[in-house]
Amino acid sequence: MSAPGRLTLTVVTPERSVVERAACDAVSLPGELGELGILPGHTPLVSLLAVGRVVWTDAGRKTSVAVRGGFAEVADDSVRVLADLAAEKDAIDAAEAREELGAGDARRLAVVGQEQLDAVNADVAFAEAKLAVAQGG
Amino acid sequence: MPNLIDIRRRIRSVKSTQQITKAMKMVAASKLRRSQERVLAARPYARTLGATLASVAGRLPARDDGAPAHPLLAQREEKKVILVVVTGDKGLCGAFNTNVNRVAGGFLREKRAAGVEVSLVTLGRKAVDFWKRRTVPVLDARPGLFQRFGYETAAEVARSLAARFTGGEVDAVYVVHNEFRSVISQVVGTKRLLPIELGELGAAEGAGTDYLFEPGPDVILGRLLPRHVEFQLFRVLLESNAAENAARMTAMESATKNAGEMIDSLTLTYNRARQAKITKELIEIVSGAEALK
Repeated sequence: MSAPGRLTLTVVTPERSVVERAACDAVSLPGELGELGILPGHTPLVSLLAVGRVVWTDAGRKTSVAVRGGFAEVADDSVRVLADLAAEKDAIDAAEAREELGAGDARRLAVVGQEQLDAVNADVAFAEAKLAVAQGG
Repeated sequence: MPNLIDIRRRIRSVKSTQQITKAMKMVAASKLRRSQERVLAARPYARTLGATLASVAGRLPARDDGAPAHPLLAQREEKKVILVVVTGDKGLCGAFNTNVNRVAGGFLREKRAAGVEVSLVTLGRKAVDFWKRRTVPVLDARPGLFQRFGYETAAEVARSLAARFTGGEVDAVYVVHNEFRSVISQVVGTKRLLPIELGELGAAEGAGTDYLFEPGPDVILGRLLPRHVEFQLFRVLLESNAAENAARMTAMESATKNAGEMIDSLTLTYNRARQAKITKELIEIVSGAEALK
């Protein structure tokens, strides 16, 4: 249980744990139905996540990680994000992300069917999110 | 009398074997540490996934027609099943691989006696090689899976299993693999991967929380259940990998010890033979000198 008026954020993937019990004042999640802002005292919630950034504010300072898919659970002022893939600032190679982003257009031309298009779009969105994390923190 | 040079050669060869087994033990130990860390790293995810799934499942309205809420939950009479056999890619790890294949064989006989058709999915080179020469149909074989595997590898296999299950091709999927109990104990276990038994999850923590679902619980369940299957298989691979390294470490340790014992006994024989030779030579010299008197 966290201190009153604060949130605890945990971001895990099946392979590793990315953010471990970070205390913060607010969390913003890339919900599948749109951006979700979580403040302390939020009602218990389970939401699917889209590709994007999880941003949290601690004493006015913003930090973020890029996540790809998965879901988030909010209960008792603790936010648990179970992402399929996640990348924090230290794990991101900006040049590589830019390359992935650039390759997106070429890959879109080669896709067959909606499923592949979705996969490419997700890759591009993830690359975008990674770039944003790398540049903005 | 044993030839001195032969014994010396023998000692040298056993010594170099010992060096190799010792090195393999160290490699296995460091790999074991890494694979144990991976098992631990997967734990928080498992806990949250289980708790959320249990709470979502608890909130699902019961259907009037008694149909399951999701195809992956469908309980059918077992006529055809898949057995996923998980072994390592390499040998030299004691009975690790043999045990799995033996238990899989027992499972096969049992199911066949009950009139159930069994086909296999073999993961790891040792299982692939063992089962490809037999009469059981193998649907999918992945040699070399463990050289480099991540969540995606497990997810891919799990998705194809789930597709066969939901397509009605099979009625259940079982997994046989080594469970990692501790460094010195690995136990072969068989468990059912599909259909998913929600009752098993019901006892998990957080089942009582009244969540808001976005989108609805059925959509979330539809996404969580396949994820659950993928993750279960991923855990099986992680555990099997850790167990394999542990088994190899133990096997190499005892091999190193055996080689040490062998060297000791050979050295003893060698010294005895050398002493005997010296004594014999002395006797010859002395008796030769005696004869000249």
